[in-house]
Amino acid sequence: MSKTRLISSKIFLKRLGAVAVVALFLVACAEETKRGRKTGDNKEEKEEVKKDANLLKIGGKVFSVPSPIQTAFLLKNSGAAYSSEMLSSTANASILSTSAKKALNLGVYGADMGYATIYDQTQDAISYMAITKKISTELGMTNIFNNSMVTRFEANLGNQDSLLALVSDAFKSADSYLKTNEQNDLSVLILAGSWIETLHFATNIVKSQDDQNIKNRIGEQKITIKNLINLMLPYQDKQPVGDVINSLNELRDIYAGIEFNYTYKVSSTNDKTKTTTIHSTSKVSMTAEQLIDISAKVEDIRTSILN
Amino acid sequence: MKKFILKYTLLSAILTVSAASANAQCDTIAAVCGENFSREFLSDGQEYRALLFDDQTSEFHLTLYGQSTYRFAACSGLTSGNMLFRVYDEERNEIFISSDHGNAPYWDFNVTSTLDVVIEGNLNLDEVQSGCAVLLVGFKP
Repeated sequence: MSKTRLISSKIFLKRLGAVAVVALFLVACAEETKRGRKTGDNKEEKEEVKKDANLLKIGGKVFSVPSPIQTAFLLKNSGAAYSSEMLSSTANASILSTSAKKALNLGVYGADMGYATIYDQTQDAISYMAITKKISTELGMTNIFNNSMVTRFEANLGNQDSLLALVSDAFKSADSYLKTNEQNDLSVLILAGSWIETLHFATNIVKSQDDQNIKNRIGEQKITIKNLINLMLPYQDKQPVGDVINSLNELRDIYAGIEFNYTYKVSSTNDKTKTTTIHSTSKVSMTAEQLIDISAKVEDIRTSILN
Repeated sequence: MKKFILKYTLLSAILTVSAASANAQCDTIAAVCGENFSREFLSDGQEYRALLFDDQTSEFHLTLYGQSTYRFAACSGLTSGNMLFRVYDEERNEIFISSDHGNAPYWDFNVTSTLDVVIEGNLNLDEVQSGCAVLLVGFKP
């Protein structure tokens, strides 16, 4: 190696070392960086770190869909009987060939597990927990739905609050794991799978039970489907995310005909209880034909997820 | 060629360590933030993270169901009040501003009817200049 090259390498290594120290310091200790310590140079260094720390979303918009457990509670509170026929077959789990398919079905099985748990159907809940463990392990999430989690789940059978807390926290950990490992496409597919499965429950139940609250909840998905699609759009180039978005867009077209009227009202806040009451009102107007069309499209999408 | 490979191997290693460190920091903050939830609240199953610098704002779009009670907790760093949050409806009508309530790290919301809300999060620049911001959402079953 020539002397010039050696010096050049040394300079490069020094610079690289400086960048490493700054990057580690800024990222690991960022929350301790007090305003008074700010310098012009630091700002440039932060910009550099900002470009590099690509595991985290920087600013921008984040979209979300509600927990399937909330709608499952609504179904139970409506007086609807438990129906194991509505749930997906656990046999399907063995034929899931791709990570994306596994993620979609993990969402479906997670919603099934939540539904069975809310209805205190312990055997079904255990079956879906086992399938969830299998699929999540195949997706690399060995530390989330592990044996310890299954043991805790079984130990809490009969204690619905604890079971639901376990399931919700496990899915939050799975969401966090996938985002941390740059598998956001799988994370959004899990959400899409659970959302479709929950809508499948609701649309099935209203076929035999004329419950206005459930119909309203189905109609209200007009605003949620928009968030779900926005959530998935950044990953549309990763199949089958694009295909799922296309299917959801067809469902959104049906929802476009449904009226969702929102009226803003000033909220009230109680500082003592740290609570704000949102008084704004909304009303959904959906025809019987629109409900039939939504049900048919939901079944269509669900079938494509399961098969 | 060897020098090129060495440069990029080192650079990759540094970026990997930096990113892992950022994620570890976020994990810790998320765990601390989770302490704002009592057993009466269930997680919505998601964890919302953003890496914020200076006055950057993160926007979280959520659907809140009617006849429900939610808790939002917003955190950055290991102490309370480092992240400020504001809640608006989709028409940008104001619902809640945490800085009007002592930079509260969490707040509960009783929802009369289903609506979409936007939560804006910023760092409290009196306390922090940059860092991982975490928003957690829970609901009462």
